[in-house]
Amino acid sequence: MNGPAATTCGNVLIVDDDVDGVDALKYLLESHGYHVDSAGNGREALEYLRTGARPCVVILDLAMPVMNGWQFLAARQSDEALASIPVIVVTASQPAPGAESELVMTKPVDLDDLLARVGAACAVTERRHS
Amino acid sequence: MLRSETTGVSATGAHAVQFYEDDEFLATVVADFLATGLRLGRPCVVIATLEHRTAIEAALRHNHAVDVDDVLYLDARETLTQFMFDGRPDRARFAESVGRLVADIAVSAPEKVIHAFGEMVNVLCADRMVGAAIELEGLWNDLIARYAVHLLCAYQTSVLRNADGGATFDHLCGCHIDVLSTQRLAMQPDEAARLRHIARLEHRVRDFEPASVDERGFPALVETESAARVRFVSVASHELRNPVHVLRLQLQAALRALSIDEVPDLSGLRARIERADAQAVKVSQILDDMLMQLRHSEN
Repeated sequence: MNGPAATTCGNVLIVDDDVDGVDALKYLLESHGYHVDSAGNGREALEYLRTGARPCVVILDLAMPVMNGWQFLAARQSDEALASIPVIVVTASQPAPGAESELVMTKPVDLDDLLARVGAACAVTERRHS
Repeated sequence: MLRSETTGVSATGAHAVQFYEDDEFLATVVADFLATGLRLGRPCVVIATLEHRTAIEAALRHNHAVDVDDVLYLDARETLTQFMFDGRPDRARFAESVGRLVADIAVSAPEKVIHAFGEMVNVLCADRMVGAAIELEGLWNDLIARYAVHLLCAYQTSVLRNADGGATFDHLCGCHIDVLSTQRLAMQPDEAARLRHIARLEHRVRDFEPASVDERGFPALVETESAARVRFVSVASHELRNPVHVLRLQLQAALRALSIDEVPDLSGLRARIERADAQAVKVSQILDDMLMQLRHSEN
């Protein structure tokens, strides 16, 4: 696997209800230097973000219980404080209308591609805040 | 059969569906349905979005001399959160929430038919979860089989995509006992206008049917089978993507651990391989289901 160079900063939030998928992706991202938190559905993710946590990027599944990814995207878009946080949608479904403006990757994702996109999103976010 | 005065909502049917285009029409239909129940002293329940609740209450006040406070209102999205799990309605949670509510009403008002309007299915369709909506219709049908409930569902036509040759629409209709007049048909002034409307629609539909017929002369059947195959491949592809995704992540995590750890954590690696294997088992189960369905359809 030829991932990007290890990043020393960069917080990533994974929003997915599949525990095994989250576990593996969390390990892979952490092994590339990212700090990773996770939420089991959209509502948990919103609660996390409303504590003031600001990840460089959110990796979002769409089909989830309680609050799905589309509902999360709608809630994020209507919240000025959260609307600028980049989102990478990782989905088994076809991209939905609410996700058209987001970066959408279809499962199974190419890991190098995902790492490159996470790296790019983190770089943009960090530049914005520097 | 008792029918409401203006919309044709059945008062003795068990499960009806209204396809509608605008909220005002829906509010009128639901208000008529509820007013019929209220006049007969029946318990009435509405599970709707806040916007539709407001419109239904206004239509009840404007069109009917009934006490709107006698209607029990529940928020559609809030109610969904009580039983949705992993993107699907969970049977046990549905029984504990909606089922318990219906049972309690049935106990408190014995011998009374419950009039219920629900649009959680429309909310699911708006969220592109049509499969979950169809499952929810099935759970409602199970409830209706046990309790005296007249359930009215509603779908806004704009939330129903037609990418599968109408198969999903047919499936949704099949979940109900009665399909009520669509908004455009209901708006026609008389029977002659309604017949002209239907004739015009059938004429337009011919443009979308295949021009040629097979050796048996069944063009519609050919189209339906084709749509069903497209839908089958689409669903199967979607179902396979999730376990394959997790399987790949687990294997890539294991490879990553081998490449960066000087002393590999063997128990950690074993756990990842076991999780990958569990996903591979899921893939084979889905493949078995697919083959079984294919054989079933061939037979």
